[in-house]
Amino acid sequence: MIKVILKYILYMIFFCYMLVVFLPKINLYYLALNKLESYKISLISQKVNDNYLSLDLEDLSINYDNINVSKVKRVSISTYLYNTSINIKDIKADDMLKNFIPESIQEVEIFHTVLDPLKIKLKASFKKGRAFGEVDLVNNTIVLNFDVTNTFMHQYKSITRQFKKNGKYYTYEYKY
Amino acid sequence: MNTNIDFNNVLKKLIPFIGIVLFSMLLNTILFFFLPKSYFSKTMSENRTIDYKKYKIREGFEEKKIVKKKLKKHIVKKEYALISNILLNMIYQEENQNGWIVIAEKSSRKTTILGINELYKNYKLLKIFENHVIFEKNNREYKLLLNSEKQKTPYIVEKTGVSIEKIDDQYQLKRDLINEYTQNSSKIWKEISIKETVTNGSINGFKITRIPQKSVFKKLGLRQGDIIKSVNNVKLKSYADAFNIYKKISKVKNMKFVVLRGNQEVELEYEIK
Repeated sequence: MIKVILKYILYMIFFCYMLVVFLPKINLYYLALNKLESYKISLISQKVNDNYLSLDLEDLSINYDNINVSKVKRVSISTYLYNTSINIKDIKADDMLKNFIPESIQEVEIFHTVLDPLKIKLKASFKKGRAFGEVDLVNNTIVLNFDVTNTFMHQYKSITRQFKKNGKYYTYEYKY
Repeated sequence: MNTNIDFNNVLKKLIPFIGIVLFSMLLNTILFFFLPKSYFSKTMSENRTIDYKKYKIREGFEEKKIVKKKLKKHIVKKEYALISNILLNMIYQEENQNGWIVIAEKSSRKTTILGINELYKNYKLLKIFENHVIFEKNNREYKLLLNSEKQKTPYIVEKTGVSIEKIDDQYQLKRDLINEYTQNSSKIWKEISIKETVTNGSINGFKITRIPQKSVFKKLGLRQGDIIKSVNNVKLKSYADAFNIYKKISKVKNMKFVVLRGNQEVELEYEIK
């Protein structure tokens, strides 16, 4: 009996992997772009690669309302059905935003798992610190904890004035 | 050693996997037909512009010609004279060679202002150039240089403020000044602070919360407390609108700001050269 159950579990896992492998990822990416368009966000990538288990975008330019806001070296979107992760490397914010957000963000990781389906975890690292937090899909809130230097707090006053001191970290909460 | 492989057994075990592969391929193929096959950005194709147009309502809906006023050059004093005993202290020159000069007698330092075709001790001022003037006396032309004989220092073009001139109600500013600020945005935020003004939950302009006395924006006619409502008839309803203008400012030649000052709407016009 256990042998049969294990066999079906193996078939399920194999099926999940095959679904991801044959998933038309580039077309799904186009669908996502069309959806983002309604929020005035457009992405332009120099290279889009379907790597069987992930979709890689290189030299991505992010525009909001026809204005370039940042450039990203590499984005890797991986999904294994039970979890999905987006890894973004080397984000360079446009010059006009450098007083609001760090000019260069080394890495951002967005992670979602079916084990905790109502939350999306966020992690970011940049020159003057790091940030981590989560998106609560039930309460529609984004909570970010910043572990940053005083220089950061001083330099990006326009956003840091909204931070609240929470023990070791500064917390930023946004309700959407 | 028995090397026989039971292919029937292997095939029997592989069949479910092959079935799964084919089934997942089928599912994804069906999905493929419902997904977009390409992407073309609609917003990027829109040619959003902040071009400046001005219309005269009374004379029909015709585009008003923007009268380009020539930038006047003020040239300040350099001491030298080819004509004996005269110093050319200043040249005020317009591009069509009109203008006036300030000359002084070397001995008495008494200054005289001369316009074109005016006489000074039988010398008639004939032409004005950037760094010299031509006099005429007894059908003979005399040159009076602004610069010193040894050309120790070049003449200086006098500017009112930093590349900004106000002629009538229009500000004229140099493209270099715009480029200087667009290439270094932190310089902008040192000289001005703005904050969105929100009515009924939506942005309807940007209020100037700080503008230092020596700020270039002050010289451009903006004041603390002004609410910038629109630029070139584009209403500022979001940060994106503001950033869009910031991005395209290097390409525009004329700008019109509508600001709310107190309870009054004020128009500020700029010509970028």
